[in-house]
Amino acid sequence: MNQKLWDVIKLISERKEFGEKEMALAYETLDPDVLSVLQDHFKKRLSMRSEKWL
Amino acid sequence: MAIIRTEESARNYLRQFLHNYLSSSGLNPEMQYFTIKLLHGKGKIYNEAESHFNWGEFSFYIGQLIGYEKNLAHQIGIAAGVELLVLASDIIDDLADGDYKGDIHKILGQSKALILANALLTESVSLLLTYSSVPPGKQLSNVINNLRDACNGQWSDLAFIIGETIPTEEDYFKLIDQKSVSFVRLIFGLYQSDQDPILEELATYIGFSGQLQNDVKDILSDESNDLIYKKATLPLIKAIDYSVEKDQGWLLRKLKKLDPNLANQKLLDEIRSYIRSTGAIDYCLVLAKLYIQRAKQLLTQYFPTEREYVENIINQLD
Repeated sequence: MNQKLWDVIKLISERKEFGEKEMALAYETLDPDVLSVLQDHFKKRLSMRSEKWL
Repeated sequence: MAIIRTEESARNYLRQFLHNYLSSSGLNPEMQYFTIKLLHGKGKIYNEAESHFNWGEFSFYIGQLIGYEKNLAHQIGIAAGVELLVLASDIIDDLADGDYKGDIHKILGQSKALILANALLTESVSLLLTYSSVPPGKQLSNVINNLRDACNGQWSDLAFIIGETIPTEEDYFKLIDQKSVSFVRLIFGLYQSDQDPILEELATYIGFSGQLQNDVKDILSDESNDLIYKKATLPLIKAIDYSVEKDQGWLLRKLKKLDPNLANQKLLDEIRSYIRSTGAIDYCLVLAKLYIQRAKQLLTQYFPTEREYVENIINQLD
C-alpha cells in the first residue's frame, strides 16, 4: 500500500500538480480511504499555493 | 459515570489535581516549581493554547471510554501520572538528543534535568499504581513491560542514522512501534488488563501518526538536531530513496557535508528545500492523516454506544 502511495506522491511532486495523469494513477492504484486522504491533503496544499487542482 | 464534556473541564481538573498532588508530594520545592514550569510548555497541561493534543487529557478520555474505573478522582489521578511520565520522557529525550536549544536545557541544565526526570518517573509510577483499578501485579507488568520496550526503542534510535547503510521504511516502522506505540499501549493497559486486538490496532495507528508528525516537524525545524545528526526518520529515508532513484544520490553527498560542529544554515536550508521537493514530507503527512482516520473509524465502529466519549478522543486526535 505504502509503495503505491509513494509512487503517486513522487509523480505529483515532480509535475507540481495533481492533474489528470496523477489522478488516473491514484484512482487505479490506491485504496479508496488512501485516495480520499491524498485528495484532501493536496487539495488544501495546492489551493494554498494557487496551483492546479483537478 | 460522569462524562466530562469539554476539554476545558478535563484540563482544569487535571491542573488542579497536579497542583495539589505536587504540593503534598514531599518533592523538593524547587523540583515542584520546575515541574509546574515545564508543564506550561508546548502540548503540556498548563499550556494556554486553546486547542492542543495533551497526553494527560487523552489518557483521561481513553479511561472514560474503556476503563473499569468509574471514580472520577481516580481517572484524573491516572491521567496525572501519564502527564508526569510524558514530561519525564521528554526531559530524557532532550538530553539524549543533545537538544540544547529546548526549554529543558535553558531552564534546568543537564544535572538538574536528569534528577528531575528520575523524580518524575518515580512520581508517575506511584500515581499509576495508586489510582488504577487494574490489579497491582498486572498494572506493574503493564507499566514495566511497555517502558522497557520504549527504552529499548530509544536505545536503538541512538544508532538509527544515515551512515554506511540506509535504514528502510520497514526498519523505521519497526523502531517506532517499539519506541512510540509502546507508550500508547501502556496507556490502554492502565485501564484494561486484557489483550484486545482492537485496542492494539488503535494504539498502533495513534502511535504511528504521532511519531510521523513529530518527525516531519523536527526535520524542518532549526530547533531540532534530527537533520544535522542525520537521524533516519521517514522523511529523510524517503527523500534519499527519491534521490538515489532520480539523481544518483545528490542528497547523500550533501548529507556527508553536514558537520554538527559547524554552522550549516545554508546547507540545511538547501537540504530541507530538496526534501520538500521530493514529496517525502507530503508522503509522511498523508500517512499520518490516514492512520488518524483509521483510528477514528475504529473508535466509531467498535464503540457505537459511547458516542460522547469517542467524540472527546477524536477532538484530541484532531
